[in-house]
Amino acid sequence: MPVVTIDRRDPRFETLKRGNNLRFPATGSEAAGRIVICSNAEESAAALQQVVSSGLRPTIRSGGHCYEDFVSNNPNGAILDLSMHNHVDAEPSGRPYRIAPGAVLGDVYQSLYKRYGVSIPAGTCYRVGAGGHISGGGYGLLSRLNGLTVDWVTGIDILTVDSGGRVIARRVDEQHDPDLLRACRGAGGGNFGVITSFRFDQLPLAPREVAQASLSFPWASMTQENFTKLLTSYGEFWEGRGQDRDTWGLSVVLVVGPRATPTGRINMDAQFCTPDGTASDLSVLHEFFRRFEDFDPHLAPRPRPKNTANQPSDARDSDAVASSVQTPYHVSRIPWLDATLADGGGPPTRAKYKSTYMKQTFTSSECAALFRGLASPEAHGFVLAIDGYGGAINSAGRAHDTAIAQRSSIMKLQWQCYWQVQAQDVGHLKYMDDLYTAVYTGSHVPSAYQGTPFGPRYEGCYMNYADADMLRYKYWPQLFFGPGDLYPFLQRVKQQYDPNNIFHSSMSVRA
Amino acid sequence: MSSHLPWTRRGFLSALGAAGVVATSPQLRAAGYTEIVDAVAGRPGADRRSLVLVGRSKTDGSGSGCIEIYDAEGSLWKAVGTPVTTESPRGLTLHPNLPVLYVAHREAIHRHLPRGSVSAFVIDPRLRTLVQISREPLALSATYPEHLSVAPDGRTLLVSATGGGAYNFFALAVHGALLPGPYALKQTGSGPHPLQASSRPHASVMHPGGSFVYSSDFGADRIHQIAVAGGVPVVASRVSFTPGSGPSYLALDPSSSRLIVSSVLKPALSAVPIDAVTGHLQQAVHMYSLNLEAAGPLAISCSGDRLYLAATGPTGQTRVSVFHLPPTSGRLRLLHQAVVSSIRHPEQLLVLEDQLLVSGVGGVARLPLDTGRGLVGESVPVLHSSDSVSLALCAL
Repeated sequence: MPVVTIDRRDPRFETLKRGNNLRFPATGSEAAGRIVICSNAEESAAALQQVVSSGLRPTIRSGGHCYEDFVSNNPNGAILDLSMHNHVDAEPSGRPYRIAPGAVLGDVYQSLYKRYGVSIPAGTCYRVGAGGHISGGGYGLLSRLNGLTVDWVTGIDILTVDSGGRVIARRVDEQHDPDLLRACRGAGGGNFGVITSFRFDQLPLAPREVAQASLSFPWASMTQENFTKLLTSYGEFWEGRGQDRDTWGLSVVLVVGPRATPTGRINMDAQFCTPDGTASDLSVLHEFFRRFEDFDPHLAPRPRPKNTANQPSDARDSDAVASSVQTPYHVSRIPWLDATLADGGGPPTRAKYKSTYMKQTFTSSECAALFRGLASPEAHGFVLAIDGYGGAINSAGRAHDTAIAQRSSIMKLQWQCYWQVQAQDVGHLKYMDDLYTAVYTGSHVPSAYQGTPFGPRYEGCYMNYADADMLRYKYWPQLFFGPGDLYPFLQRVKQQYDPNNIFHSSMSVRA
Repeated sequence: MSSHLPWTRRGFLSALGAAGVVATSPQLRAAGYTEIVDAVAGRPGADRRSLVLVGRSKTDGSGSGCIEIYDAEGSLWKAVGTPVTTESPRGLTLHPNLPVLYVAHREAIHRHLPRGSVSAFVIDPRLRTLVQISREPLALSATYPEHLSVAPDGRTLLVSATGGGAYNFFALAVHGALLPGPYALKQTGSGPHPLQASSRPHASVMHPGGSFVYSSDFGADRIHQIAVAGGVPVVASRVSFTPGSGPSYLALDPSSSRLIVSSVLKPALSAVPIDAVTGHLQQAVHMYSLNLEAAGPLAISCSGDRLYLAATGPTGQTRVSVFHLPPTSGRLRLLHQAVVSSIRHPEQLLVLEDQLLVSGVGGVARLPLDTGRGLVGESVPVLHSSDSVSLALCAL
């Protein structure tokens, strides 16, 4: 089957020129000139060679969930769409496991679980593509227990372009181009080449079941003092108890939204399993939620999870749990696969994202800035997801064989804002930027880094939550790659494997 | 913007009149004539007033710079108007038909993104002012632009970005402003020299017919013929030079039958024949080996029989050489050489009727020409500057 090339005359172009973030391309002139659908490594190599030989810029798309314009803003260039290159399997011998870049996480979880009983500790949106997600680290609800997805990557197949403009297919591992392997384990997609396969010699067993529970805290009864106590208490758990190994099966997201709406609330969503992959012992979960008893928690409405086999859900009757122990939350024990595939992520929309790695709990200054900002009428559409972090992620050795430097954080924040109308872009972008800057302005941030999460309390930002606003700070590479020698290392790799800077974006590694 | 002056291409190529003898005097300094030094006693010629646009770029890495205007009459350069402060102005180039100046900003970051930028200024010759009418970023990753060329029809501007290995083509509006969203033509390639780790587009020269542009790639040891067909630039032909040559500066023979190339790393002059019908480049012919530290900019006389080269000699001095350029093929014959002590790292060489202007770090120097005998006179600094200097001249 010939490679499919979609140009501006094709009726599919208007849909495929953009990804999930409808802000990009911002104008028609920023759009790529063509989209090339690549179904396997050979097609990718041929397409890449043709693009490079034509003097065009290639950008690479797997699932289309890039948060910035790294893929879609490619004037007259070519997007290599790898979404059809999506197999998940293993070598005939059973190892290594292989994930193609176009596989979406939901299919990855299903395939790995049903065929092999394993999983990757990756994200929660099942429509996100593996290529970009894994390249930038990859984390999710099993990461405190099992580390980041890149921590398990033992090899990649990648297409690079040499100094003469020739496409080179490389099989990279610890023995072959180990520096390139390390760089591709977390520096982010679109830096060094086109990854055509991720390989894993081992993967963690998938849990059999998980327990889910949620609490909510109505804004109506939330004072600034209580808000501060809530956030600091949340952070204190991850700072302290959350570092104990028996808690690593606990993942919690504190979801904070605007407080202007009458029914607005702060949600606390937890998933837990024991290291043996069951939810038989929930003492850690109950211990966690007991910390918030004094905050007037309410039962959070939780939709019943989808069942992948179209059978009645295997969820244990949560009322049976509630009747024996007086709790303001319901605990549902459900098959892990059902829980994992419940969240597909949202439909395409206009969005802006930011991120923070926190090494310590919240300060009163941060809480005050958030509390003020969340009351703004401009906060409509804003969501702050505060993930408990750490656990197995914070293995110091992983900072030296991956490109994820942030191995000391206890919370990870994803700042999000969603809207539909282009005319609202300026307002929402300004709101996000102002709020973020305000939260990181004050004595809790060293004077040289005001406005950014940098300094003793933080580890900067996450490249998979790309934020081009950070480019205005000269130390933006250190924000994303740490203050150590990781970024200079990545620059050396860039010079060696992409000397002509074929693969570039506004935030790619600069040679 | 309006102008009543007949802007012609020939007018832009002519500049200062023959140098007169102008003695430095307190009265001249008091009148505002800056940095005038004793001029060489050259042939008196008809004084012809010109505007000289001078782009100065600091060489300290700060990126600061400015564009100055000089009222030039004979050998007198008088600073006029108000300098325009701007980032690293290089590659000053005039529109062929409009009083518009294009400037490349040799920068690595523009508005926080990894790219250079280009500006367009309207020149008001009466008020001696420059007014910026547009500034546009290059495509992402096209950094450190240095050389510009404008198509004869005034509708396209080519930018050579030495960092990022790309050519950027801007469409120009009817009044000369840059239209946003350049078309990027990315190059690959490398050479054995440490400075040739990747493609590095350098100079370019438009074919008078307007359909092609010839450009050099210092990093990839290549000369390209780029055709602009239907608004989409494509490489129509290319020739490779000996690895490690570093072909950089170009001069197009007035007959458009060949391109003369000076190679910087292995200093030499070469001729690249051009197919009369297709404009395709043919295999380069070596013309002259140069005993130099580095070759530099070229210029060909309007008569087509004289080739001028500014280069850095073995001892680090700038030398200007005059060659007899045979009409079709054959070797160059060195006629004369002169040292230009006030200039280092020559970047630009302009031939103007009976004199040369050389610009580089140190400012601008003028050398009178005896075109009949192929002699070049003693150089005279007409502008002192510790910065890197780029020039554009327009007749009044």
